[in-house]
Amino acid sequence: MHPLLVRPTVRRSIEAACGRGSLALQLVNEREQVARLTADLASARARSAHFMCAPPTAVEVRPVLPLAGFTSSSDRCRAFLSDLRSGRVDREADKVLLNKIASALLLTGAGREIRLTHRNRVVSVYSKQASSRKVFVRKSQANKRLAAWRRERGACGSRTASEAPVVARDVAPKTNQRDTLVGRGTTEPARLSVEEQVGLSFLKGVSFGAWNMIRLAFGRQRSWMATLLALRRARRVMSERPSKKVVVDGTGAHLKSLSHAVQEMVSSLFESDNWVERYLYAASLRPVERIGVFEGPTPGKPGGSPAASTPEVQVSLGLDKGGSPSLGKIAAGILNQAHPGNPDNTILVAVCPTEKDKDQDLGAMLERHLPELDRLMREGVLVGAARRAVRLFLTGELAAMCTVFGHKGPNATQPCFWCKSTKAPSIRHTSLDAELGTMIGLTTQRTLRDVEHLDSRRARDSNLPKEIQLEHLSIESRPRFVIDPRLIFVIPLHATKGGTSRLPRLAIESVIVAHTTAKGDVFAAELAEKLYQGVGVVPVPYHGGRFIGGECHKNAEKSDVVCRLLESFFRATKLSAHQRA
Amino acid sequence: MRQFRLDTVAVVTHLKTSVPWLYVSPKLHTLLTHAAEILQLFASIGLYGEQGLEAWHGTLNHARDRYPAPTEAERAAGFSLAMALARDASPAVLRRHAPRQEPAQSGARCASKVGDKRRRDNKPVLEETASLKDKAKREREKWAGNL
Repeated sequence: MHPLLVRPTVRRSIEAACGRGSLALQLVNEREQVARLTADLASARARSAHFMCAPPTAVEVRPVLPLAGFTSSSDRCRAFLSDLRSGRVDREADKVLLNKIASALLLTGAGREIRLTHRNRVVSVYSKQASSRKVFVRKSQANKRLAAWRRERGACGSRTASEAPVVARDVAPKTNQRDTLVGRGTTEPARLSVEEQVGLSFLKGVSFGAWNMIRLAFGRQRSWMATLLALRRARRVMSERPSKKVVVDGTGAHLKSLSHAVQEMVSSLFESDNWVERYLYAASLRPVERIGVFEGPTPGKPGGSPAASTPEVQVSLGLDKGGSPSLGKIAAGILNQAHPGNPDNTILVAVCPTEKDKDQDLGAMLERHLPELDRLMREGVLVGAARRAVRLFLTGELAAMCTVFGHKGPNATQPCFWCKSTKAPSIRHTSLDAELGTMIGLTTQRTLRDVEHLDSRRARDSNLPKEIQLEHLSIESRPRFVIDPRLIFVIPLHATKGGTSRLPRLAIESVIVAHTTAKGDVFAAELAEKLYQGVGVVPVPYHGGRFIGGECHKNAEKSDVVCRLLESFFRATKLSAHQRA
Repeated sequence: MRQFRLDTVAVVTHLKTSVPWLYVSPKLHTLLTHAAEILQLFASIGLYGEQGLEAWHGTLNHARDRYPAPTEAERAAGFSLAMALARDASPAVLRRHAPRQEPAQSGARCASKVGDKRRRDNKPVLEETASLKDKAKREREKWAGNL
C-alpha cells in the first residue's frame, strides 16, 4: 500500500497476563522495535527517494550499512550505535528514522503496539493498523497533510522529476476539490494538467519554445510546467480527438465533429461548477418547471425546440463574415454559462475564405455541419449522468441566415423571420396586408411563422411552377436547415449599431424636409462637429456612416447634444416631437 | 416587461409622428415588435446576441500572422486547431484551479472619493496630435458630405 494512503489507527485487544510479565514483555518489545527500526534505516537510505512516493516494488534493494549480517537484535543495535558515533550515519537524510528511534526509546509504548495494564492485571494491547485514508478532508486536515508531505519531501532527499507529480497528484487534487471540504488553492499554486497547459499556451499565443524558457527560468520540474516533449506529445494526441480535429475542404477549415465539441464543453462547464441553468418563462413570467425527461424529437418533425418542461441545453449557432481579409465564420456557444458571449467560451466551428464576400458561401459552409447538428438535436447532450435535449438558437448576419433558410432576403415582401408581415402596404398585396398585417403597423397583432411551413418548403420540388406570395411567404428556395422560427435571433448587436447611426441621419433628414437641402448640409456639418466636441465620437465615412466600438453607448448617454442642436432649426411645437423621437 | 413593451411602442409612435418617411428595416421591426416577446420567453435579449461571433473577427485579425500557410484555408485551419486546443484552458477549466474568493460587497471597489484617479474627470487629458485632428476633421466632413 502506498505509505501516504495509510492512516494509522489504534486497535485494542486484551490479553490476560501477570503484572511482572507485562513489564518484561514491554522492555523486550522496545528493544525489538529499536532493532527493527535500525534495520529499516539501512534499507531506507538505499531507497530514500522512493520511500514516500513510489509504490513498493518486488525487488528488494540491498542496504548500504552492513547491518543485515547480524542475526541478533542486540548486535544490530550495538553496530548501529558505533556507526552513529563514528559519524557514518547521515543525520540530515535519516532524520525521520532517527526521530522514530528516539521516540521508541524515550516514549514508552509509542511504538507499533501500546500495552496498557489495568488494575485487574489485564493487559490491553493497542496495535496500529493501516486503513484507507479519507479522500475528502476538511481544511485543517488538508493543511496537515500538505505540511507532512513537505516534511517528507525534505526527508526523502533528492527526488527525480518523475516522482514529483506523483506526490502532487496525491495531495493537491484532494485539497483542490470544489466542495465544502476544501481550502481550494489556498496553500499550493495551481497545477494544470499537460493538456490544460497546452491549451493555455495556445490561448495566450505562447509558443512551446517560449513556454520552455519560462519553465527553465522558474526551476524546471519545480515550476510544475510540462516539458517540451510532454507538450508536443499532448498536442499530437489532442489534435486527433474528434472534438478538436480540423479538416480542410474546398470551402475552408472545419471542425470535424461539432457534436463532440459541444459535449466536451458541456462536460467541462458542468464539472467546473460553471453551469447555469436556463429556463423558459411562462406568460406569468415564472420559469417553467423542468419535470420531463429527454425524449428524442418526434420522427418526421424538426428538432431543436423541445417542450418547455424538458431539461435542455441551450446551444447557439452563429454565422457571420468579417475581418480583414473577409472570412466567413461559424461559431457555436453554450448558453448555460455566465458569459456565453465571451469568445473564449465559444466553439469556432468553421473558418472559410468567402469569395467576393458572398453570403451564399456561408450557407455552403454550414452544409458540412448539418449532419452533426441533426445528431446533436436527435441524441441530445450528456449533462452529468443525465441526457438532455438541445434547444438550438440561430444568430448572426441576416443575409447569411436568409441563404440558410431559403429566404428571399431583407428586401422581400415578407422579410421578417418571425412573422408574416409585409414590408410595406401596397395595392398589389392588399389581401396579404389585411390578413397578415404590415411591418409599419407596429401595434397590430402579428401572424407568426411556423416551423411546419419551413419544413414543407424543404420537401418542395424546385421544378414546380411559380407559386403565389401567400404560398411561399418569401421563402422561395429550399431551406438547408429547419428550426423553429422563434429561435432565430438577429437583433441585439447589429440593431444597436444600426439604430445609433440611423438616428443622426433621421435628424438631418428632418432638417432637409423642414427647410432645404443646403440647410441640411449645414446641419450635418454642425452635427458632426458637435458629436466630436460634445460627445467625443467620430462617425466613420465608410460602412454607411457607422460608429465604431463603444461609441454607440456614448451617443446614447449624450443624446441631448443632438436635441439641443435641433433647437435652432425647428419651431417649439415641432421641436418637442423631434426631441421625444 | 410591461415597461419594455410600453417603451417600444412609445419609440415607434414618436418616430412615426416625427419622421413619417422612416423605413422600418427587418431588424428595427424585430427590435420594436418581437424583442419583447423574446424577453418574456427567455428573460434576456443580450444573452442571445452575436457578440461572441463578432469577436472572432478581431481575434483572427490579430492572430493570423502566427499561422503562416500558403493558402488562406490552411492558415484558417491552423488557427481553428489552435483555438480548439485552447478550449482545454477555457475560463471554465481554469476556474477549477483558481483561488476561491468571496465576492466584494456591491460597490466596495467603486471610486467613491472625488479625487480618485480612476474617475474620468481625474484622468489626464491626452492632447491630440495635429495629424489626428486633421484626420478627424476630414472624416467628419466626408461623413456630412456623404449624407
